[in-house]
Amino acid sequence: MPTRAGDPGLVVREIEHTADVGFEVEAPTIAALFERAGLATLAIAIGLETVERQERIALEVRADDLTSLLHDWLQQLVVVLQARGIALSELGVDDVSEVAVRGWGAGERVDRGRHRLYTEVKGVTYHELAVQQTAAGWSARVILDV
Amino acid sequence: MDLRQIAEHVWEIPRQGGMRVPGRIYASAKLMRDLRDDPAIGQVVNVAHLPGIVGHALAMPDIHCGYGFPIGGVAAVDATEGVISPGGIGYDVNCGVRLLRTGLDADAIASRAERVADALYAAIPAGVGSEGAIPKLGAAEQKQMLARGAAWAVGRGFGRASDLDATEEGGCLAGADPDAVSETALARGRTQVGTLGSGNHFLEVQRVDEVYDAHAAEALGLHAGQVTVMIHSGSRGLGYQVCDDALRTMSHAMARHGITVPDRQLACVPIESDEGREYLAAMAAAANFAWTNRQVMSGLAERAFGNVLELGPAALRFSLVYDVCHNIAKFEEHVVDGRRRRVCVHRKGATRAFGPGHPALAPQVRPLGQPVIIPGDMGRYSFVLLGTARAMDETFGTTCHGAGRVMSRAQAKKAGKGLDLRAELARRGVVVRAQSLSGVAEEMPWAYKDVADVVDVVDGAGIARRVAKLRPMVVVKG
Repeated sequence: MPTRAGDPGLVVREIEHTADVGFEVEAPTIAALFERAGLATLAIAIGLETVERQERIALEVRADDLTSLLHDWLQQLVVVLQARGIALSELGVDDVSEVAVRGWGAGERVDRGRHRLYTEVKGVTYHELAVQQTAAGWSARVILDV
Repeated sequence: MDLRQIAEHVWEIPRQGGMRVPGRIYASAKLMRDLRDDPAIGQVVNVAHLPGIVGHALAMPDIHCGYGFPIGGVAAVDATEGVISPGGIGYDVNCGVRLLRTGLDADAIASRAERVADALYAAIPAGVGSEGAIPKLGAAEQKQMLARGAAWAVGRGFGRASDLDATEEGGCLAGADPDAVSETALARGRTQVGTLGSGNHFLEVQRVDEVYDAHAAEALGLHAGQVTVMIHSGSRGLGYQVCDDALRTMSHAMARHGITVPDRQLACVPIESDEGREYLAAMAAAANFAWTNRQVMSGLAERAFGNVLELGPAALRFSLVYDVCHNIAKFEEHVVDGRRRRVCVHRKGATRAFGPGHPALAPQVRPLGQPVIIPGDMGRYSFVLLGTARAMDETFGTTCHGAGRVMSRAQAKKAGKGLDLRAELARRGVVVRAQSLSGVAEEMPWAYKDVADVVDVVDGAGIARRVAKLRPMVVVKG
C-alpha cells in the first residue's frame, strides 16, 4: 500500500551529521521502506502536505545491489524535483528486487508561491548508507548532501 | 589514535597499517581538544591510503567530517602514477567564494540596508525550485558555457573582462569537455545558471571592519569602512551529478584497476585511465559552470545595487578582488622531499594559497601572493588573507576555507528553537533575507567554529597571512 502524502511514517529518525542531514527509516516490507525513505528525502526539501497530486510519473531504477538501488531510487527523486521541477508527495513501489525497483510518484510542478519550501537536497551520499532486514521488517540509513 | 604535536599548530598521525604517507593536521590546542574524537581524524587516515599520494595527507584547521575525505582535507598525488578521487573534490565541484570591492561607503548605505537586502533577494534566485536569471539554456549554448566558463558570462554582460584576471585559472579550467557530462547532469544545470542554492551558500554585503596589513589591503583595493560583496556558491545540481556519476563508474572500475579503499566514498581510479580522464574532463566542465554561476550573480548583484541606490557603474565601482575554488583538483608543480614533481592536488574544503611570485597568479596580485577569501558564519565576520611561501613548502600551497561546522543542522535548529533568529541577527547588525527560516537556524553562528580561531592557526602556522576582516551587513540565503 502506498505511503500517504506527508506521512513518511513515525519510524523516521533524524541522524545528526555535521556536514549534512540524514535519517533512519523502518518499514514492514522492502517496498514500504523504499516509499518511506523516498518521502523522508522529499520532505527535507518541501512540505509534502502542501503538494497536490495532479500528475503521476513512472519511476524505475536498476543497480548492482540493494544498497546502490536505494541510493539510485532516492537520487532519481531528487533529480525529478530539481531537473524536472516536479514535487512528489506520494510514492508507490509496485515491484522491488535486489537489483531493480519499479513504481510511481504523484505530485505537481513546484510552485514557489504555494508550496512550503525548505532545504535544497543536492543528492544522496554513500556515506554510512545501509539497507538491512530486521526482526520487524526492513530498515535503512541515509545521509543526504544539502 | 596516535596523534603527535610536532609544532605549535601542526599535529602528525604517523604511518600505520595501509597508510602510504603520514597525516598532518593544522590546528591549535584549543581546536584539537574538540577534534580528538571526531571521525574526521579517521578520514585523514583513510585519505593517506590513496595510491600515489605524496608528502602528507593534510587537514586544515576547519576540518570536519565529510564523505570519504574530511572537509578541510588536502591530498597531492603523483600526476602520472596517482589516482583521482571525486570524493577529494566533493559533490559541489568548484564550490568557492568571490569577493567584490565597491566604491561605496558602509556608513552611507547603512540606512538603506533593508532595501538593498530586498533588491538582492529579488534579483538572485535561491533555494528549492529556483530558476536562473538566464532563461533555460539550449543544449548547444549550455555546452559552450561549460567549455568557456566565466568568460561566457562576461560576454553576456555580467561583470567585466578584468574580473577574469582575478579568478583562479581565469575562470576556465583547461580540459573541460561538456560531452563528458551526463544528460542528467546537464538537465540539472540547465535552469540553474545564476542561482545561489541553499545550505551554507550565501551572498553577503559587508563592511571592511579591520585592516591588518595596510599595504596589502591597499594593493587589493580595500580600505576600512568600504562596502564589499561576498558570494559563496558552486556548481549546483550539475556538479553534484558529475560527482555522483563518477562515484558509480569508479566503484565498478576500481576492482579492474586493482584498487581498494577503506571507504566507498573514496572511490578512485588512476589519473591515466579512461575513467580518470573522463571524470577530470567533466569535473573541469562543472568547475566552469560554477565560475559562470558566480560571475552571473556578481552582475545581478551590481544591477540590484544600482537600482536601489540609483547609481551607475562609475559610482558603484564594482570589481572583483578575487574568486577562489575550495572544492577542486588541479595539476600543479610542487617540491616534494626535495624534488620538483607534477602532482594533482585534491582540495576539498581547502583553498589554494600560492605565495608571492607564483607564475599562476595574475600580474596584479603576483607580488602579493594569492588572495584567499575565508567566509565565516553569517553573524560574525569573514577574512581576506594572502598565500605565502611557507604554504608552498608545507601544504602544496593550500590553506583553510572557512569556519567549519561544530553542530549538525539538527542540533543547530534545536539550539535556535524559540529564538527570533531575525532579531538575533539584527542585534548583531545583520539584515537577513532567506527562503527558509529553518535554513537560517542551521547556519546560525553557534553552528560553526569561530572563524577567527581557524584564521589564527593558518596565520600562526604561516600558511596564509591576514589582510582584512569583513563584517556582514546584509545576508541573502536560499
